[in-house]
Amino acid sequence: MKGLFTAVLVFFLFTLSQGLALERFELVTTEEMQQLLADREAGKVDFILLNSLDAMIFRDAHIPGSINIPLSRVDSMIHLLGEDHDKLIVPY
Amino acid sequence: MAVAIKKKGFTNIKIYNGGLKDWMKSGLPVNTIEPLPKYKGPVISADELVKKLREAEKTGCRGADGDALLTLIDFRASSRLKHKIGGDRYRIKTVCPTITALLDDFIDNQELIDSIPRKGMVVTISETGNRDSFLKRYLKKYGYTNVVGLQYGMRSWHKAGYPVEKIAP
Repeated sequence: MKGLFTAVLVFFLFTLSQGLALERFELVTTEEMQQLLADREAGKVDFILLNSLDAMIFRDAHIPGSINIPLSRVDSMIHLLGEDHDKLIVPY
Repeated sequence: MAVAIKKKGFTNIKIYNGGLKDWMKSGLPVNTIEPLPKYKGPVISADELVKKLREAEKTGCRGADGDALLTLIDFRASSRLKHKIGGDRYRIKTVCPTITALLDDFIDNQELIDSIPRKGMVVTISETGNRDSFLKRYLKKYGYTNVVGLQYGMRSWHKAGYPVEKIAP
C-alpha cells in the first residue's frame, strides 16, 4: 500500500512539474568546468562563464575567466553577454 | 540567473551548479580584485534579535547618551524589485532605524557607510544569512566592530512569526 502511494505521489509530482514547465538546465560538474576552461584557452570552444553574485563578492574572489553580472543588475548589464544568443553561457 | 537570461532570449545555457564554493573546495585558483579581510563576525538569532528590539524600543532605540542602541541594515536583493513576491513583501517591523540598500551600494560609498552608527548594535538582514559575512567583512575594513548578522536571515524571522510590516502589495 505504501509502495503504491509512493508511486502515485511520484507520478503526480512528475506530471505537475511538466504542467508547470519548470525550467531545467544541464548541469556542469567542477571537472567539466575545468575542461571547458582549458578548451577555451586552447581555442576549441567559446563560451561565457558568468558570475551572478554581487560585485562585492566577485571582487573578493571569482573563477578566473568569468565575468560578473549581479542578478540584481541583469537588465542593465545584459549587453555584456553580446549579441549571439546561441553562444554557450555558464552561470554560477 | 539561468532563468533570467533565458527570458532575455539566450538559448544555450548550462549551470555550474557547484559554483565558487565547490571550485574553491577543490583547491582551484581564484582571482581577486579587492580582497575582503579574513573575518567571520558574530551572528544573532531571530529569538535574540526580537528580545533586543523590544528592549531597545522602550527608549526609542536610543541610549541615555542619545546614541543608537540598535540599527538594522536590510540589504536583501529584492529591495529594488518593483514586483516582490513571498517574504520579500515584508520587512522587520520596528521603530529602530533601518538602512535599506543593496550589498553593492556600499562599495566605495562613504556617505552610506558613514550613515551606519559605530555605537550600539548593527544587525545585517539578508534573505537567508548566506551573504551577511561579506557585508560584515567589508565594514570591518572601515573599522566597524559592532556589526552582527541575523542568523539564517529574514527567512528565520518569518519562520518564527515575529512582527513584520508590509512594504509591497
